[in-house]
Amino acid sequence: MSRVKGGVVTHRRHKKVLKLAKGHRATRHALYRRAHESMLHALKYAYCHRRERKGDMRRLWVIRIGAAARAGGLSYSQFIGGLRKADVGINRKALAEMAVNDSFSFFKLLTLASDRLKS
Amino acid sequence: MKGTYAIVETGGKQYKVATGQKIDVDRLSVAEGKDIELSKVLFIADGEDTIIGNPTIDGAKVIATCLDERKGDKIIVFKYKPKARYRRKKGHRQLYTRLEIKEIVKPGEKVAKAVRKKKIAVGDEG
Repeated sequence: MSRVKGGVVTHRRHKKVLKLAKGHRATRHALYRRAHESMLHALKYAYCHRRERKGDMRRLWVIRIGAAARAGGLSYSQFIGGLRKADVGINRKALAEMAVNDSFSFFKLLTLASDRLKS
Repeated sequence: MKGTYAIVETGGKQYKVATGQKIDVDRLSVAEGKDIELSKVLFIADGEDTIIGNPTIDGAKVIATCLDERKGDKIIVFKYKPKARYRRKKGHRQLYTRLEIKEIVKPGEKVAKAVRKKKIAVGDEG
């Protein structure tokens, strides 16, 4: 069999890594060894932070709902407690969407929640 | 605020939908071009009034057509623990079904207004 030299394969592998390390700082986007380690960490962070994002978004929604509920005279916990008593299953994503774009419907939910809290 | 919209649940996620809207949801077992009924309707607003479910609205549903099935962008799942020689690499593409919302049916209303209209139109021509 004819001999295959390693240079081509190595170059391809290095190219792949350098592509993933684009935009990294200093030598970390230009030198293979630095870029390789940088890539390992970057991909790991990407994985972890995709998971973190779920909590980040939920926190944002809670803040938005809280602000809108307070404007209507209930605290966040009172509002959510009232909805829970009324068996409303709308999640925080949808509630926040309503708080921002559909204050009319949100107000309906607010009145429902405060009614349930009184009874 | 104008226009009717509903909040429906599918695939463990809630979507705000209006008629004519196209949404990507986690893959459902419907053939391309076929209709599907989403019966977990949590909320309907039509600009004047709202219907709030407890937790779902009885008799309400959202009719949607499956346009096609598609895959999300590729995600590289990479787990890595430095100094422990632990590396796991996996590619992932989420499977979606693209739906077009045909109709939001409130409780007590009849399904497929659009279909009936078509029939009338055909009758007029004949």
